[in-house]
Amino acid sequence: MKPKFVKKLLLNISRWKSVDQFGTPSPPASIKEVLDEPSSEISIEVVQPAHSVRSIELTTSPSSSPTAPTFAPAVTKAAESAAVQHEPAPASFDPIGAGAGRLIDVPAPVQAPAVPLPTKDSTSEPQTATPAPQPVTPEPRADNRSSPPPAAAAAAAEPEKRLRPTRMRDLIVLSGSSHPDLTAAICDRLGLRPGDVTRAKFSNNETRVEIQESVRGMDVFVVQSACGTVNDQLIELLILLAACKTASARRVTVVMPLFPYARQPETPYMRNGMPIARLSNDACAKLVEMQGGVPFPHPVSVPASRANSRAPSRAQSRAPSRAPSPIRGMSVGSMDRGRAAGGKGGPEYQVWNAKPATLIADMLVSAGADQIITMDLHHPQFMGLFDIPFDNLSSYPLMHKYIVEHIPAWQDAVIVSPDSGGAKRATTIADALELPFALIHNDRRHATAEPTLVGSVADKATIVIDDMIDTGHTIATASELLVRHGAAKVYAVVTHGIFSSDAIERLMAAPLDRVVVSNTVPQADHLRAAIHAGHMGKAAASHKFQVFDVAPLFAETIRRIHYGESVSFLFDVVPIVR
Amino acid sequence: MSTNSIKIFSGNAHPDLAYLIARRLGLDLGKVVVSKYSNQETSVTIGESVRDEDVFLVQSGCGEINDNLMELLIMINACKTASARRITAVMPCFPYARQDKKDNSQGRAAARLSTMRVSLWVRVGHDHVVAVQLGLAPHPGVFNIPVDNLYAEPSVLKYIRDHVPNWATDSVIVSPDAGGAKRATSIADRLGIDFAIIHKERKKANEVSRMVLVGDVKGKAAILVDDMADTCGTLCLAAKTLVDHGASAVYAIVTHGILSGKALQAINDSPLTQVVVTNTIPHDEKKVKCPKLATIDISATLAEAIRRTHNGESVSYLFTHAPE
Repeated sequence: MKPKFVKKLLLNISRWKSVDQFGTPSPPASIKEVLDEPSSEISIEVVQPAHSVRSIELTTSPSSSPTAPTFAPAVTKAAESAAVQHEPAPASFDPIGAGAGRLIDVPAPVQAPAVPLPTKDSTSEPQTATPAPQPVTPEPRADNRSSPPPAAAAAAAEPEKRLRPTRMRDLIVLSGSSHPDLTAAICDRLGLRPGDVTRAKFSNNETRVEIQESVRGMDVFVVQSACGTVNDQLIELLILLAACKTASARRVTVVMPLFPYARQPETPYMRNGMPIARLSNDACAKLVEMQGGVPFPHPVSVPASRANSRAPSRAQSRAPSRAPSPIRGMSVGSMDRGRAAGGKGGPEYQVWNAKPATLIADMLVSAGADQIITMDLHHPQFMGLFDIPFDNLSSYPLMHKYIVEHIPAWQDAVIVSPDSGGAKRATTIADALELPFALIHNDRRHATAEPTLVGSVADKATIVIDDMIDTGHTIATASELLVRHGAAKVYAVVTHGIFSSDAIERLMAAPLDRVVVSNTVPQADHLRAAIHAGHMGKAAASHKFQVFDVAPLFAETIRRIHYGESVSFLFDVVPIVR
Repeated sequence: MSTNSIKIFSGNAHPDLAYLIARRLGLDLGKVVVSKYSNQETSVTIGESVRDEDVFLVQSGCGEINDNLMELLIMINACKTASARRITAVMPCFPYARQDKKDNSQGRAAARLSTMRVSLWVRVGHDHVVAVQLGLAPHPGVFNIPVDNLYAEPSVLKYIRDHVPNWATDSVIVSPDAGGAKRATSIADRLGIDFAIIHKERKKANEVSRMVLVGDVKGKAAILVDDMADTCGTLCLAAKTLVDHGASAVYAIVTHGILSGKALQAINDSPLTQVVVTNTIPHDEKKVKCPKLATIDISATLAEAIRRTHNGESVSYLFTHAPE
């Protein structure tokens, strides 16, 4: 065997050994980087839950700032850059410290004790000088059919990482532009580098994707989370799938930590519970007025920052101070509008809210997905819409582990579900932890009805379990209610932290002791926003806002699927984190 | 047997065009609310009954293309599950049409978007597509549903006859690249005037190095015809070449005026007399910045196509005539 091959093989073998030492689910490396940033240079303007701009390079070379093709060319949006070659987060484990001299000051790797972040943070000196990533303006295009600007400097990656292969046997992991940090973390666990994919937009906003290496005959895993600009991510994913298919990949698996359009809006209904009938002219005009006066009958487009509230299924009976979203206007939440619409229309026709679940399923399958992996799907029955294998991973073992290791006096806590739909979810965890359970119930049929607590939480620590935080209304209202009923502490442990518009501010202001989310959605920017919005200093804010890492679970699933081993083992036991 | 009626719904891409189309047909636009949820997923609410109706969804592939595409797909799906009799997607500007032409040199797996588009469209559930092109459709036979590819050519001819002075004697149709030669000859033949071609010699992928004029434009008004104007680099270079060869004025007539980036600046600085685009893509605010911009209204063509499709009449009349 050639010496170069032998060297690579030895490196890989030593990595495989270290791969088993997963240790505790420490926060992902990108979060640690945020905490290591010098405070003065934290960028302030982030509110949108955009996909993380770039993980901070810990080298000091200024040229390594990304000049990659930007993803949002519109001048009004904050331009985000997607690195062509991801600079993977510094290794969350690398016990052998192999490779040419370590150039990074990484906080202690995985074997760090379960100490809350503040202690580590307060003692570490900000070694890094790199400021938060700057928005990158799109470079001018020379021609109609132009190609994107040249690839980003991959020099920022450590030399040792660059030695890593992008493929293991015939496994290759490609990343969409939604969450390159997670892909990098997953690939770390697998001992790989993410595959080379160029992602850009043409000057007319069409997405352009190119796979820069051969995937012929490979087992391809495409990682794309439905966060940030969901439609862009979805189309990019479809194009990537089609590209793999036409490049003769053997099998293409889609890994979507957060599945798009997973929540279906409920049909708006009136006070007496009947669905609202046709939208009369008045109702339409009122809807339009609420969005700021675009004259009827032109359809309205609400900028994301103003459409703050989700569909009625998540609507709280207490309206927030800003203008309600269009769907909300038809719900029981704002009674006068609902009555106006319902009264005139008559019962013949039901206002039709599009429910695109089947559409998304068909699109993914048609584009060429052979298998789908996701986590904590909002409606688990979606699996039935797919004819292809579908793995709905559960983050509950990781939540269980987090609770046991990071929540003080958890043995005396109460698990609370913030709405009745999530009762099953919460009872699963409550049973596993052998803790009592309580439930918050919103009676949506009466606008003025208060949410009620079923169960007792007096003088106890409460742990609120939910699958996603979007606007933060549910959790904020739940925490207020729990405190009113005498809860000693309120912790929220949630899988998907979407944090739209001003959710972070709402949660930092709510009487919550801690919000814990996973990194299925990029959280680095949310942490920055939390530090800024919390007005309580970096240490305290980062103690209130914590992230647990799901990359090991995904990496293990990918490995098992690739080798044809059982994945259901992961649902019951927590082998990867022991 | 009940008769059904036309229902026209519009997404957010180009509501003004939809309004014009509806007005042509003497209808109101259908009530639909298309917006975004807080997590940026698209939300579509149809506010009237479409059961057993002939539904036309007007959505152009411009602006935020992916968002508009998703809006259209979700609207189609919504109408399908709401028991519409027939759903037609009217897409004045069809997105992802250009990326088909990429070559796969060096064995790179660039996405072939025709495949993506087909797979997208096949399962979505609509029955018909109406698109607007100037010239031949680039992808005949790719869809397994009827596609009506309307031509803007009759409107272009009408515009030339009405607005270019002495068009019969003192004008030349010019194609800014070799690929559009057929387009240019077709127009030139209809008008009975000469034509010329500008041939690009490309040295590198993004750069147009030299433009060679094949034909004669001396002392005549040159009318450039093309299907898309994006950054207008080609168009402005072509105009300069024509002026260097003695053209008295240079007009540009383009079907889809995307006009992104520095296009307006380039047009203002170039020797172009006028740039005419159809209203497949909204550009009202661009006209303010660039006085050389003029519009051809194709809402009449689209409205007529919709009417004929609904009544089961022949649409081919529209291939040669522009409705007034």
